[in-house]
Amino acid sequence: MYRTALVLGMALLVSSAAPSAAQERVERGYSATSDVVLRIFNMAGSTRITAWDHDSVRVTGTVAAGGRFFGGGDRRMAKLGVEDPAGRQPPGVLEIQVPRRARVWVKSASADVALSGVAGEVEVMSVTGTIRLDGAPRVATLESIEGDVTVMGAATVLRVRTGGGSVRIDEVRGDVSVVTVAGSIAIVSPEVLSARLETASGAVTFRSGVGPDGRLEVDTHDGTVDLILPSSIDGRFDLSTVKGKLTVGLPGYRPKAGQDRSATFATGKRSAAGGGIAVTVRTFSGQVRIGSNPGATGGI
Amino acid sequence: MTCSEVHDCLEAYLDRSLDRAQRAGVDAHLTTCADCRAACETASWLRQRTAALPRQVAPSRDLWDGIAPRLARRQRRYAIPLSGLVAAALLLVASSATITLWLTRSSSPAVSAFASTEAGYLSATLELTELYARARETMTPETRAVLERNLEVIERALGEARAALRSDPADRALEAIVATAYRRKIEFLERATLLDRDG
Repeated sequence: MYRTALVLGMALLVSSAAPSAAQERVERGYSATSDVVLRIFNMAGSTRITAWDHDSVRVTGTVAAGGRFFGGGDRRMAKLGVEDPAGRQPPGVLEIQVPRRARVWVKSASADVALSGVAGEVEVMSVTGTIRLDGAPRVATLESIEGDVTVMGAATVLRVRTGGGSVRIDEVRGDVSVVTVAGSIAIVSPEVLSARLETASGAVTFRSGVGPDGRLEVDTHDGTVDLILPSSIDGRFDLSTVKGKLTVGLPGYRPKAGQDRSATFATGKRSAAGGGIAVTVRTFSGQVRIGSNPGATGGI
Repeated sequence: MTCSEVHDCLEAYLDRSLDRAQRAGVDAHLTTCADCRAACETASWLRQRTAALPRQVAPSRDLWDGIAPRLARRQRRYAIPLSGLVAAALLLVASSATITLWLTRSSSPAVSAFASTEAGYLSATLELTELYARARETMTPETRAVLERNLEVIERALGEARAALRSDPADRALEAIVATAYRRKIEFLERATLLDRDG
């Protein structure tokens, strides 16, 4: 009896120890140029990329059983990530430090991706994983079909595309383009240079100024559109909804008869002369509401 | 026969259901009219593509045993297999091509201009739908489900916009909305087909 119990106990110990023994711990370091090009592959789990002020790349983390870490390249260009010869997607949990000016490309399926402080170029492609970007890269292209995308910081050029994933952008200053299918789009910033926001059925909320002579273009099928603009905005507006309703609450705006579905008007002196900000909203059946934020003066 | 008469009986011609005299009339016209010959070739090509699609995709038996009883109770509200999506896209293309041909021949120049634009979108949509059908074979079931959920939203929006434009063919705003809906579909299909690329 004791002997049976002992054998069973040992078997349990061995079986419980087996997964951790199969898990690979990763700790690597690579010498790199300050603007190294990195291609990172991690399909499941999570990838966290942080910029630091060293000309090197450091990777720590774990790779689940069945997968293995790979990495290679030279100081100017390197490729690393998790691979699985059997074609599955074993989760990897990777923490990667990269030079601040690095150009980083990340491929994910369900892995969540977070980037912080990278000032170079960033491109992330995912299917269901979330993407979070903090910092001010020159160019950021973020794509996830179903994962939510969150951006905090002053990217110069920001391109975001999702399907059902929602997009939240705070404090961005540059040129912004967001395309979703059903995901909502929310932008809150003092001022963006220009913005193009497009969705089929997601709701659009834009609470920001727009740079002098910039453009704000919004296009939805049935997604609602809420624009909260500076009360002193100097802009030319071209708004239309085929089956929705148009509500404009800008100071000085007086709706004319028949302008509940489309309206073209200008506010401010520069706009009256053909300059100013160009605001275009097109929607098939979405509701459009344009209001003002008396406290903001951005873009004017 | 005139172009209009040929167009009216093009479907029957391709179905081989015209009588001998009518068929000879169409044949004679097609030898002299390049436009109608091109229209006939396009319609024939679309038919071949549509016919080549599987009529149904049978799920594996273990899944089907669980799904079939529930389907019987629910009247199939949501299940749209890929074959259905592709077939729907191709049928849309086929029907739209017919409408486009008709519009380009019978309507005002402005409407014809958009019909021509739409034909371009349709052609791109068709090619990408085929590419996507091939790419999805290597995708995980989760990825397929996510993509097709989004394609359904896009397809619904496109259908609504096109229906509105059919009711009011001269509405420029609706044309822009339909064009945007096509572009949205094309861009999404491009993304879907490139998901497996390694940069």
